[in-house]
Amino acid sequence: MTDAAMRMPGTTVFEMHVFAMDVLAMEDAGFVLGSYALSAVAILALVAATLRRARRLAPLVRDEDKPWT
Amino acid sequence: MRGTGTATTRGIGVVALACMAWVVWGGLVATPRDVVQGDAVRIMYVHVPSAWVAYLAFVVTAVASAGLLFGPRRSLGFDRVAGASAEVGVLFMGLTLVTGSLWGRITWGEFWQWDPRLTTTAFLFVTYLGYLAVRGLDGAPEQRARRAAVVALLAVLEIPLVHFSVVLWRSLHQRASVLDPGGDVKLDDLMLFTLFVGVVAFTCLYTWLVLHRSRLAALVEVAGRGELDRAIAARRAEAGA
Repeated sequence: MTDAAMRMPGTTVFEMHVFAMDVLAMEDAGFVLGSYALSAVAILALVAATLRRARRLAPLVRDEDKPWT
Repeated sequence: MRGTGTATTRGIGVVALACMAWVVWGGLVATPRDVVQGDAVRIMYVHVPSAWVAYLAFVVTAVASAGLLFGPRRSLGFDRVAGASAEVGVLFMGLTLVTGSLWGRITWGEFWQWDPRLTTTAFLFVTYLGYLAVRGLDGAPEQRARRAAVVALLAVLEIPLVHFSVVLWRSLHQRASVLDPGGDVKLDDLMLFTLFVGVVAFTCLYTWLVLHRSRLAALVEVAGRGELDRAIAARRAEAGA
């Protein structure tokens, strides 16, 4: 993406740049973004741990013992 | 080989992701700043849904526990749902405390105050950590399930205390803005919409997690039984040889 394209409204890079500038320009950005980041990391960690353990155990159990399937 | 996912969980996951994307965009960019709180209000879009889901999770834990203790079909399936729901509830209660502390640092200048709402919420969080510890105690599966169910039915009584703490005592924490008993909602339409989408997103996420984690608990149980059967068979073979 060239500099001209980056400055052009309507392009993805331009919109992302505006988005990032808007977000970083807010008051107390560290606290606000921190609350979103912490929530995302905690939720994704639980989702990943759940899926990983399920994938590890699934081959050890017959499909007949999985009433949800 | 099939895991814990189904078409339903995949559908719920897609809805949760779509709503989450809106919460991030709407919460950080599209919604206006608050006249009084400034940009700190943006924390509300994750803080309030987290608190709602934690309450919901603990109520579901209590209902499933009641099903186990008093229901006509006292299946251990109730215990698996109760446990999964409490685990997810503890995560969201923890997030409520952390995001609330970050909001408090901006608004009050302090991460923590021994305020009625904050203190009762922390107490609720610790109670459910205790509930999870009780679930891990030794005993036959039925005995453990009944013991945990009694604790769950007692622990859920704290929720009204937490929710009404801002009314019962003088509190730094603001009173309900949306669920105001007077019906006077003091929020901009887009802010209210984003908050609503956040509640939908977190509720879908909760449902997805509870479905997967209760099925995972079933897998752990069956796999554990299989290992036990294999160990007994090996011992018998040794004794016979």
